[in-house]
Amino acid sequence: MKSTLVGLAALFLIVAACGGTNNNPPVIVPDAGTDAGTDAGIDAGVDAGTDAGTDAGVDAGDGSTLTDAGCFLNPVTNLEILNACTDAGTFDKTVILPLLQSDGGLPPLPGK
Amino acid sequence: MRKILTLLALAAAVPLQAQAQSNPNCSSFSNPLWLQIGDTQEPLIKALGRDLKRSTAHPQTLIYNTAGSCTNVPNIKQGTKMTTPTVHYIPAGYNGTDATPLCNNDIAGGHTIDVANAALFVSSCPAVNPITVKTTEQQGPIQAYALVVPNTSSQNMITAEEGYFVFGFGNSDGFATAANPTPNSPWNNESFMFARQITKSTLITWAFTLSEPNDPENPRHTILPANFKGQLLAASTDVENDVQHSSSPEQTIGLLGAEVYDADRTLVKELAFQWFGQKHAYLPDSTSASFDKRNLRDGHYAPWSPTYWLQQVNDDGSPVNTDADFFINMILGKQALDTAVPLDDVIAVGLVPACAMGVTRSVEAGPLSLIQPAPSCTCYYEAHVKNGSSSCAACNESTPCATGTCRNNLCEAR
Repeated sequence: MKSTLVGLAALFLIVAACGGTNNNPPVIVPDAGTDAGTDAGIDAGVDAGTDAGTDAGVDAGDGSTLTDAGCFLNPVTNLEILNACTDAGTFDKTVILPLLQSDGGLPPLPGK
Repeated sequence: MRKILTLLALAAAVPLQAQAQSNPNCSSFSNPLWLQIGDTQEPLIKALGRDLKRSTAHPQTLIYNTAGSCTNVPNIKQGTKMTTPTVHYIPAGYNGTDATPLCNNDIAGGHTIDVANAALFVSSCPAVNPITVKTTEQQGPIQAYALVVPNTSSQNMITAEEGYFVFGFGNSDGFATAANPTPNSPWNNESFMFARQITKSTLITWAFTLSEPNDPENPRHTILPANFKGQLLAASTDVENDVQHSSSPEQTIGLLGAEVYDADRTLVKELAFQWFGQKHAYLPDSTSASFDKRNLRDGHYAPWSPTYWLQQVNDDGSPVNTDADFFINMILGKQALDTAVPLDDVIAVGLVPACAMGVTRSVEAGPLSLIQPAPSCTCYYEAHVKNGSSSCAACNESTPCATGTCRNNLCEAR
């Protein structure tokens, strides 16, 4: 039972550290600790991944780790930084863009 | 009838004339420093101007005009004088936030720009040719940019792709097709899209931010500032007013410098932003109630630029005007003042000192990379920002830091 609770708590921390995927309004996650600084989310993510004892991350090959929650620990590249684990509130919505190209690229502007 | 019209015209002209006559002459002030700045930086100039006016060690009167960043850069590099008939100044006893009064610009031929400001990468402005005045360009605090909507709008976020369609297509509507004529985005009417003129840093930074990132294998689709759709307004306050009082709130969106929004958050609502390749949208601050710019500082909020501060220098690189150099060093956190801590002013107006940043970039809307500024002021920033707090350990001469460096009684990482 105790290990189950620890696992659930750790799982919560992973999700919290990597931000939720809820729709508006934003998900404001309680501070994972007393560290209100930039490192707070990263620290929480590291702890969570370790405590969970699960396959919580994939080595991205550049020193960063992609967690099961889809955020990066120890980010290196631009995309990893943008998607680094954090406990900050996130916003999500589905945007339908009919003119978006099949590969997700943008179309030229009108008259171009 | 003609007499009546003449009398009416005279009556209308009298207040203006009286007002101009009541303004003091700019030449009457002691220790003047003439600035031409972007209007996003006006709150900073007001705060620093208050402190300099009060100073006994280095008293100065700031005299300033606002113009677009990409007007200010060529103006100082080509020796253009400040010639507008009236300019703002900081009076004695000024509180640092109220509207500033005007003085009559009685300098024959106009005054040299002592300090010019750009609130974006100078490289984002058109190249200046010819350059007739030697200047330095010093990178200052970081400026966040925001997209805002009326408080009654149901919208809370926008993606970069969506923004490309909104401000790139405008009325041409990048959201509707013949098969699906119902727009999927509320922002498809240029009458309710409030942008800035094309020399303004706010518009240019957003144009870069909403343009597709460089990809060597694919053509890059960009929004050029000249093609940015919407009402191109002269002042940040115009955007704020028009967004706040829009007759069609759901269709309304505007561009602001974040510190303009931070000055009074009750007027409009800030949108969270999701950049290209990002999985979620974020506000620049960790929550809607905080001012900590944490998401900007750690790389989750991408719309930002550094401010730049330009001054004239001699051939040997020394400043032409040492007061201009003093002033810029205040902004850079390198110069103390007897009446205030200049870094506190920078933080209070919503700018982020470079020493509190965890990420950097080298070009407008360029890719982010991690940095560890040394010396760091992250603890100081988080402790002094509005509604802020720091978890950094306190320290002093008798209580040294277990790790890091004791600075301003806080254990900074570096």
